[in-house]
Amino acid sequence: MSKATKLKEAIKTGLAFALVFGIAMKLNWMSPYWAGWAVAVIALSTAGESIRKGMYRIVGTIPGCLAALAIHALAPQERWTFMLLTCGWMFLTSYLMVSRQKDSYLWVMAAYVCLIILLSDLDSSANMFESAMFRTVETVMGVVVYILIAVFLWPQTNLGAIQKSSAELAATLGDIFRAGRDALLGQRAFEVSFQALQGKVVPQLAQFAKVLLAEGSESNEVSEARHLWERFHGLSTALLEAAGRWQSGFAELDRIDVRAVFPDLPAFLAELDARFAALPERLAGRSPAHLSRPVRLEVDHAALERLTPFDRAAVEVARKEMERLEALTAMLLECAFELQGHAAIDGEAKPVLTPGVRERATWLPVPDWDHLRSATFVAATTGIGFLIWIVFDPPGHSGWFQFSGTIALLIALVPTLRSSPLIGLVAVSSAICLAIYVFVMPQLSSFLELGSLLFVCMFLVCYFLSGMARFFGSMAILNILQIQNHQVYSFAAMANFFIFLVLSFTFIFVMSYLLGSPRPEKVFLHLLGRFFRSAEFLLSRKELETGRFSPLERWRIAFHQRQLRSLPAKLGAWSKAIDRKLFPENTPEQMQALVTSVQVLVYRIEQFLETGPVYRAKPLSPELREDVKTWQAGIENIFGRWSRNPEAEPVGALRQRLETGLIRLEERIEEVVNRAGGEVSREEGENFFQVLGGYRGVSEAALAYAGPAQAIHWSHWREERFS
Amino acid sequence: MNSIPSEFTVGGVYLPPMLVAGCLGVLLAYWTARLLNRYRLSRHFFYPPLVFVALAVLFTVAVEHVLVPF
Repeated sequence: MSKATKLKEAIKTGLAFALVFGIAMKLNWMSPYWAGWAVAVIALSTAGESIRKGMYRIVGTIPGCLAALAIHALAPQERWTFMLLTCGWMFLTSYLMVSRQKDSYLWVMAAYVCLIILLSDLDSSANMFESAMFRTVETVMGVVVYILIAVFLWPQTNLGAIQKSSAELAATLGDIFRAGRDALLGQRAFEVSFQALQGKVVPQLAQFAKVLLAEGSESNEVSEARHLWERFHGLSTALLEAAGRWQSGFAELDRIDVRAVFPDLPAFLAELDARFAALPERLAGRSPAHLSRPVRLEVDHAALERLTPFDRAAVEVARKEMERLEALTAMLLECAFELQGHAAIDGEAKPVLTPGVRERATWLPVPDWDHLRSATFVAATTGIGFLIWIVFDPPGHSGWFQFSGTIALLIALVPTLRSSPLIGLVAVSSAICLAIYVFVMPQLSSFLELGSLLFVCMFLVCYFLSGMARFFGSMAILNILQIQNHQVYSFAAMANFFIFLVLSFTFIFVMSYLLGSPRPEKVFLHLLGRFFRSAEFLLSRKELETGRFSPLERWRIAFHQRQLRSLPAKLGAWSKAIDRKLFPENTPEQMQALVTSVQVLVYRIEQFLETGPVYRAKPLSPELREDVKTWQAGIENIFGRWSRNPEAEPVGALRQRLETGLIRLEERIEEVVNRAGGEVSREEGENFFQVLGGYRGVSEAALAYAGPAQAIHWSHWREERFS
Repeated sequence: MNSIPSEFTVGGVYLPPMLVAGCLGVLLAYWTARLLNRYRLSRHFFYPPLVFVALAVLFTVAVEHVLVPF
């Protein structure tokens, strides 16, 4: 953001902030700072984003108010029931907050407003309904005032941003495909360029989702086509994943002449290339003549017969992945065609493809373990805060219940945020506001003076601070200045409040130890252990024969699949939170390589799990049953050891063991095929070779993980230290 | 014998001695923890968060004995 834009945005926020206080005080509304909070929180860089957040703030306020009224109605005089109901509501809303990216803020508000309304009038419940109404009205007023200012004064619009963002995303996806194509044809190394391009496309996907929400709030045209844009986002995410899976098998194709095995490969790749070239053009509204035409990737069976069993398996896996890429690019192009205002090609509306959600074998809900932990943290902090209030009643009183719960929500929302630096930030910003409260505010005698002070304070916070610092700066202004209609000054009350703020953050810091160490390197180790436990479990449940699992077993499989899919991204986020100064021996590149190898493992395990039951093809399967079983047990064993110790398997020894196993299995396959007189038909063998490719892929990915894992100084990470 | 600790006064504002001693105790514990981290001595502790609490209590008591007038 340029300095001029920053200045304009700070002026707009300061103006709206002073104005909402003026309106609320003029109308003699309860707690004018509620409207101030609405302005401070929804003041974002563009009008669309502010409108979106403002809408969520209003919509989230309603369930929050209703929940507070219901809790008070159910437990007006029973403190334990009151505490349990409130903690239950906090658990539910915070779980929804962390698990639903799209409307996360709505659930933040539902939790936060409930706490506010529950404690709005401690002496009597008679005014609770009035408080709930004022809270809603003042929130709406704050949102409306800011939106009007954002729309009419130096408007920062998002119009056109979605087309730009989608065209950039499509161009990067095209680059990823072309890098993969060149690597497949032996023209350049793919791994390095894929990592760089993936690093570029992941923020582009996040930006696209953000822009879609923001521009959808501003433009009716975008809002109407929202389902198509969401489908485009889902398809792009699936395409990125498919490209990752495709490239993860390139190492196995090194020894194979792919052009001989796939005679139509140049035409197939040329068609995909043409689709990627047409996509940005079509999204930008310049409709090119290119329409996707179906292409198939046929295998030359004579060339295939000449390959070793493992190379045939690698070819099978690569063919499947390329067919997936083909299908996804055709769908993307069709989606872009529909976005131009054309009807769907086959006349049917397509479902939104939600990334990360696969067809599950269970109807039971499958929770995310980390989301459950975050929700437990919020509920426990709220509950213990309540106990501190009613048992000890320290300075801050009911704030221990309400304020601690609110800050716990913030920590749960951004788990990598360290709570210890916040203590200093809060102490400094609150001390400055305390000085204003003591020395400046008693000198003011009119709203013009008070409004000017509020404008200046908010302007300074918005202009000089950003991110968390800005949030805590706003919080200090609103909580310490305590502007009311009948203003009274109490140094003791404010000094106590200052102490409470610092103590409550210390309390949150202590609570962050409740569910394990908050140190990033410890969390990373913990997540890695969980990853390998899930991988071990899933491999152990790979169907060896056609058989049925019990509903509980299916639920466990779905749970571990979800773990496996979500953990690489979490590992990536936590690896960035590790303090480089404390661990100088591990470079960011080493950490990135480790996270990438974990992601590759996920791709290869998924490819393996997608293959059918192992023992269908005859005569290969029955004969090799024991060999494959031994291999599977070996891999499970390695994952089990890695779940306890990420460096348990030195790469050299592991490579030797896996290669010996591969050679032995290859010899056994030859032996069985020779004994059967070479009578293994394509149909019979295809399934078996897919399974074999899956096993090989998992083994190669395990080797790829062992290398970077050996370079990390795990023993240093495990050392205890003060956080 | 007078065993009641005296308050601290800053610009006419009286502060409880326990608050002052507690703040100084936590600050001293914080700096000690940073030093122990810097020289990798904290690895010898079984559970540093509890050690920090113990240090804060010890420093608070020490500060109270040294600084707080009776």
